Amino acid sequence: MASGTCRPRDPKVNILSSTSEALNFELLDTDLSVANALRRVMLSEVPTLAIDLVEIHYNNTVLNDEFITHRLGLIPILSTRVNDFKAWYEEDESDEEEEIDPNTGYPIEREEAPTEVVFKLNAIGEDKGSENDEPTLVTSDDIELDPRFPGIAPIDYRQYDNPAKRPIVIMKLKPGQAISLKATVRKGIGKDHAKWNPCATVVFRIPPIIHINNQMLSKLTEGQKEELVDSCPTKIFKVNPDSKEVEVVNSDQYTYDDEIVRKAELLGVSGAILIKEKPEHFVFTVESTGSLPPHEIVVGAIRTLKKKLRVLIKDTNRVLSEQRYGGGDDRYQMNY
Amino acid sequence: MNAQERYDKFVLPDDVDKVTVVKDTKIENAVAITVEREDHTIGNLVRHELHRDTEHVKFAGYKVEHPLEHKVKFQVKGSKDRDPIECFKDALQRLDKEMDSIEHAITSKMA
Amino acid sequence: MNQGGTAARYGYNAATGEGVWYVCGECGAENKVKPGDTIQCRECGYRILYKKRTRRVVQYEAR
Repeated sequence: MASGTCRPRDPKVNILSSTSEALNFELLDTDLSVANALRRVMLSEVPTLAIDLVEIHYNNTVLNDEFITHRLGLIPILSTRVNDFKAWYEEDESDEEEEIDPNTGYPIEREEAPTEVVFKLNAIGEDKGSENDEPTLVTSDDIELDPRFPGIAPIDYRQYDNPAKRPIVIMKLKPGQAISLKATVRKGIGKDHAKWNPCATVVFRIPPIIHINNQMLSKLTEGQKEELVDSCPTKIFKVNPDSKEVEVVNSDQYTYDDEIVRKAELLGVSGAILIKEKPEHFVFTVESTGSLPPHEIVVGAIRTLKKKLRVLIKDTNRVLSEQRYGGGDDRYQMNY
Repeated sequence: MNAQERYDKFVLPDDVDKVTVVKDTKIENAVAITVEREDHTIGNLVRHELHRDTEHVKFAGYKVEHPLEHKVKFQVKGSKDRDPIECFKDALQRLDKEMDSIEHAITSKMA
Repeated sequence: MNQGGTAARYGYNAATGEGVWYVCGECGAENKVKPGDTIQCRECGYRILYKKRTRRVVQYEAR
């Protein structure tokens, strides 16, 4: 096990704000590489569900089959139960030993995780009378769910009583146009195709530590101070109207452009403003597409990373054991 | 037509080992560890964790040699009497523990 | 995955010599066209014809 001075870190988390769409949190006492690994995994390796295969039975709409298919693929599907499913490339999860049926002596067949959900979509352009030439909307609400998986649905599915939750428009039909198709939903990750990415944005920033030496700045005129403050492209500094001192207004907007530091140099007060990154402090913003709640994206990313690390540990152990027990001393040297 | 399948980036073929280790011929107590079907996410993460272990790790670096070959290669040199593969495994185990504590921290705050 | 292929795939039957139905881009009349025929509408003489959509079920990857 980890020996000596090097122990695992114990990072801290503070939730700053949390809604169904976005999560803001601080990650403290860890390294940039961990924050970045988390961000990368959230974007491309947290599994979700999405339509992956479409069988078109009838289509006389103005949109061609491929176009409709692509649109369907991009509709976010509620994926909170994604872990009940198995992607085609996944091994069966359970590590447990096979159970033996005491009556027959054969292993009990374990129920395999499902891989597919099948949606249907049938819509016809209604004739709304000669006065009304409004086209018929085909939306995610028109999709018929798989009766085997009633919980797997497009986001905000048929929330008729909530005017804030509107369905996703797929296409518009004139009277006489019709579409009929079958769509297969599968589990996948953003690395395979962006439609499986659960995130609208994942961003982390490092808050700045800003030191202002107002004693040094006192040799500037008021005009020069205004010039200095205005040199920063994001307005995060101001001159206090009473004390005439330079102050920070909103430090978390700072973009690390260094403009004000250079301006201070030009004005002959180099070093009066010093800015550095706060160490081991990361402020995350995670926005969801709706397929997963934002905190589940974060937890999903941590679990994915853990799974990756465990696979690596297991295989590194394999390498170590082959090296040690695989043969005589000769092979100990060469069998790396 | 010649494009590789997207899943080639993350699906480990049956006949390929996840981790392979080759001893460095020129440097004492150094190995090249190749990890299949991983990218900068793991590469950078593990490299930095190896750097923390200043007592046992003399050198640690990683590279993705080619963008179409989905593997990362680590170079690790251990200090005297310290197997660099063990250092690598320790780094992975520390990261695994760290992930546990982040998960615990976030789930306890979200509850 | 479903594009490309021989005339047979699109309804042309070499054994019977039956043609393929096209729709005129000008008047909308349906024309049966066989290999070697001039590409021209029999009703209005317009030279742009569109192939009719297949009645077969087709499958696509949503990517």
